[in-house]
Amino acid sequence: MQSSPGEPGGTSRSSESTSRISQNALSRLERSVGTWPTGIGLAEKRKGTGAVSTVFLGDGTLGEGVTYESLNIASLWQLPVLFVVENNHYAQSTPVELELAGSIAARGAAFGVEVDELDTTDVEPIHGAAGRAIGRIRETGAPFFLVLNTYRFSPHSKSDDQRDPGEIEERRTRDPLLVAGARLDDAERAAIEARCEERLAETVEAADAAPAATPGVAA
Amino acid sequence: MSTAAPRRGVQVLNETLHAIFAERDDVVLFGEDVLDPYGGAFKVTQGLSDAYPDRVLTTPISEASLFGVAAGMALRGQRPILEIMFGDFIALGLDQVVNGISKFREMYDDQVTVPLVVRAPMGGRRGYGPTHSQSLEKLLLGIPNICVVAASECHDVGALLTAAVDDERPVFFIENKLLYGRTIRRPEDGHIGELAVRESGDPYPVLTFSATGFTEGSATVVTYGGMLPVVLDAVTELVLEHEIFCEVVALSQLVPMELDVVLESVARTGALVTAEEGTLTGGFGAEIAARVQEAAWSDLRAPVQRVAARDGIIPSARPLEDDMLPSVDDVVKAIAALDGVRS
Repeated sequence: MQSSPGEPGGTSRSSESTSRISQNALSRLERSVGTWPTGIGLAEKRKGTGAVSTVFLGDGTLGEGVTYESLNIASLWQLPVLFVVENNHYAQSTPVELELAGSIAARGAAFGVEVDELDTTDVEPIHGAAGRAIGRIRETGAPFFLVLNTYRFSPHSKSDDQRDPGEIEERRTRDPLLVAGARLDDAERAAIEARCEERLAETVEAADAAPAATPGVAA
Repeated sequence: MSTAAPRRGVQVLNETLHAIFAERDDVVLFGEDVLDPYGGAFKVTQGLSDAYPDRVLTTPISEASLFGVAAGMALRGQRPILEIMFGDFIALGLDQVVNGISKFREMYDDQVTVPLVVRAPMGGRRGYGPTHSQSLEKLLLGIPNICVVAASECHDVGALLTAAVDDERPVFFIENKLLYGRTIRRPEDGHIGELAVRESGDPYPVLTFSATGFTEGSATVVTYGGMLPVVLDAVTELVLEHEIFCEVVALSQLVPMELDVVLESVARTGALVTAEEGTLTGGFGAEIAARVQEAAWSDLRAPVQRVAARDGIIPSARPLEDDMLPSVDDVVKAIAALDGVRS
């Protein structure tokens, strides 16, 4: 995902410079561990587009050494890359205390990268912090390290969840949808939910109606 | 026709990089110690950073990340050339290749390509020891959707590198270290030395050599890269000392593997020997043997023979290294031992 140069505080809204391809590329690079976004930042810097390359990492990703190589290169070459670390406190089934030493924020600082860290599930301050981070990248040309302490309600995949149900229950009281939803009046919220349901239904319908993929035939 | 001074492989590669940089603004080269005055461990990039300071980047020792950085650049329309100082170090970047670079084009339904070039010096015979002498091409042979190109001293090395940079696919460009110091020997009037030569295929041609002008032959030897001069010496020795006449097929495109020229040659000679500098098991020769016996069983009068390095590590001491790596004598013996070899 890239933010467009026309929106200093924006994140990933559509614009001429935010191609569908680059959004797709980054949104699916779950094993990128920071390398490809760093190269994308280098390409955009060379082309002078003003675009910012954004990569989402997790606490689990911080176990991969190549992430630190990428942080080093992004800082060394002053590349427009926003590293967002979502610390959801679990790497698959392993709690963060069993997989991570030291401080997450200090990892960015150690490479001379500016850091911000939030402990909230409220989308408003997160939106503000992301906007400030991208603004700083545009201003300095340097990368930024944004740490979001958060939580995952669902299992990592399927139903492989052995966490304490009480812990999940307590976290659900801070569900971002509850927090953001509390700002809306009932009618507005109902309208948004109806739009979402409608869009999901359309998507499912379109997928069901599409022909099955045929082996050996490019789409 | 050719009156130009003989040129060594390193000169051709260096001049080609300068020409590519002059031709294309989107090409960027990066790697360890590539800046002038050092100009890279093997001096292939000499003069390039002085001429193009913004397009030649020296890097930390971070091969794994650099493969990914190159991929990110390629995804966004640049043409990165990544120089890996010693080909042995590609192992650090293979996760990026196996789980990303080779997959993006299909994962994103042809909306993206990843046109990057990884230049990798491979090979031994210089006493560099176990971790700086290997020929690891076989690690790349089984990766779908990449291209592996190996230059030899009889190929148009500059054309191969230019084609690699123009290629929309990710390309590994294998440079055997001995190529740097060897004189390039291109066909003249259809010959290199006493051997007749045919060149076919585009953009990464196959060279076929014959000791008889393609009229008869006792065996075909298929090889590539740094093993080509070893095989040519063996074939010449067989003619002079044993009156055994062979054909040699030198591939430059190892992946995707295309063996039409090999099969045509085997149809004339009836026997096949493979020759590679990498270790024997699970290698170039193994894959070719499997494919040729499947496609041309009736043409073969003897089992396919493989010549390769012994399965082991490459010692630093030169006599031990020489014993480990495939020699002219190994190739001669493999051919001479074929059942029913005609002489």
